Amino acid sequence: MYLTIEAFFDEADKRYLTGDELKILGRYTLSLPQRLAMYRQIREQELEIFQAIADQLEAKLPQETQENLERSLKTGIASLRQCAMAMLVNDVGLIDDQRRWLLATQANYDCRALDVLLFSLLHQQLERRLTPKQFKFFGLFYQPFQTL
Amino acid sequence: MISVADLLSTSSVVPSNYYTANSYVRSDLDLGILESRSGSRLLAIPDTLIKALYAGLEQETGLAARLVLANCGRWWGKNFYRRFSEELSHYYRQALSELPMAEFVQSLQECWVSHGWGTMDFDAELAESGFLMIKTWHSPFAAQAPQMNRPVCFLDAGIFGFVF
Repeated sequence: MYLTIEAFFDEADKRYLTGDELKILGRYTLSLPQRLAMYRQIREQELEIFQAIADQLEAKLPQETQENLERSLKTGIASLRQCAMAMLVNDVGLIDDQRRWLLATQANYDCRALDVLLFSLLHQQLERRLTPKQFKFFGLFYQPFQTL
Repeated sequence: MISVADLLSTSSVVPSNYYTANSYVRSDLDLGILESRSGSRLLAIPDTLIKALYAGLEQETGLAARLVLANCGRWWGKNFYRRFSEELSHYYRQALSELPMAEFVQSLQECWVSHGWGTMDFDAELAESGFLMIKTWHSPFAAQAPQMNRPVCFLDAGIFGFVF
C-alpha cells in the first residue's frame, strides 16, 4: 500500500485523485486502526511468543545444538517482524525477500526441519493469542512461511 | 535454556536480508537521485550507455578493450567491496572477517542482485585444485556485450578478481 500512496504523492501537483483511488485510500485508512492494534499486539507479545517457542523447541529437540536453535529463532523473529510490517502497510511483497533469505539460510545450514517445526509452533502461538478474525487476516501475510 | 530476551538484546543481531531491494534502494524523484539505505549514492546505467561503452572501447583500444574492462572492474571492485564491507559490518555490528561464511555469501549474493548485476553463485567443484568458480546469470554487461564467439563479462570478472 505504501507504494500506492507514494505514487499518489508523486502526482499530487498534477491532478486530484480519482474516485477509485480515493476508495482504495479510504478502505486502507478505515482498516488502519485494526492493523495498528494487531501490529502493537504482536510487537508487545514478541518475547512471550518466542520464549514459549524456544522452550518447546528445546523440549522436542534435545539433541539440537544451541547455536542452531538460536539461529532459527532469530530468523523466525525477523520473519514475524517482516510479516507484521507487511500487514501494517498492506504489502505482501515485503515478505518475498525475507522468505528467499530464509530458504538460502536453510540450504546453508541444513536446518529446514528445524524451521518447519518452529513455524508450526509459531502458528500455534499466533492462533492462541490473536482473535479468530485477526488470525485469519494475519494469515494472508504469514502464509508464505507456512509452506517452506 | 535459551533466553529470548538475550537474543533480542541490543548486543545481539537478528540476521535478515540487509540488501532487500524494497528497503536498500531509495529514490528521490524530485532530486532525481538514487541512494542506498546507508545514504551512499547509487548509479543507474541505461543499456544504451553500456552498449556505447563497448563500442567506444572496441574502437579506441581494439583487443585491449577486455584488459581495460577487467582493470576497470578491479577498480570498481575495490570501491564496491569497501562499501559492502562497511555496510555489512555496521549491520551485523562485527568485522566482516568475523562474520560466518554463510551470512557473508548470502549477503554478497543479495547485494549483487540489488545493485543490478544479476545473480551469482559459487561452485566448489574445482576447490581442491585451488580454484573458486563463480557463476553469474542475467548480467547486464553480458547481455549488452558485442555478440562475438569469445568470453565476455571482463568487468564482472575484474570485480570478483579484486573481492576474492
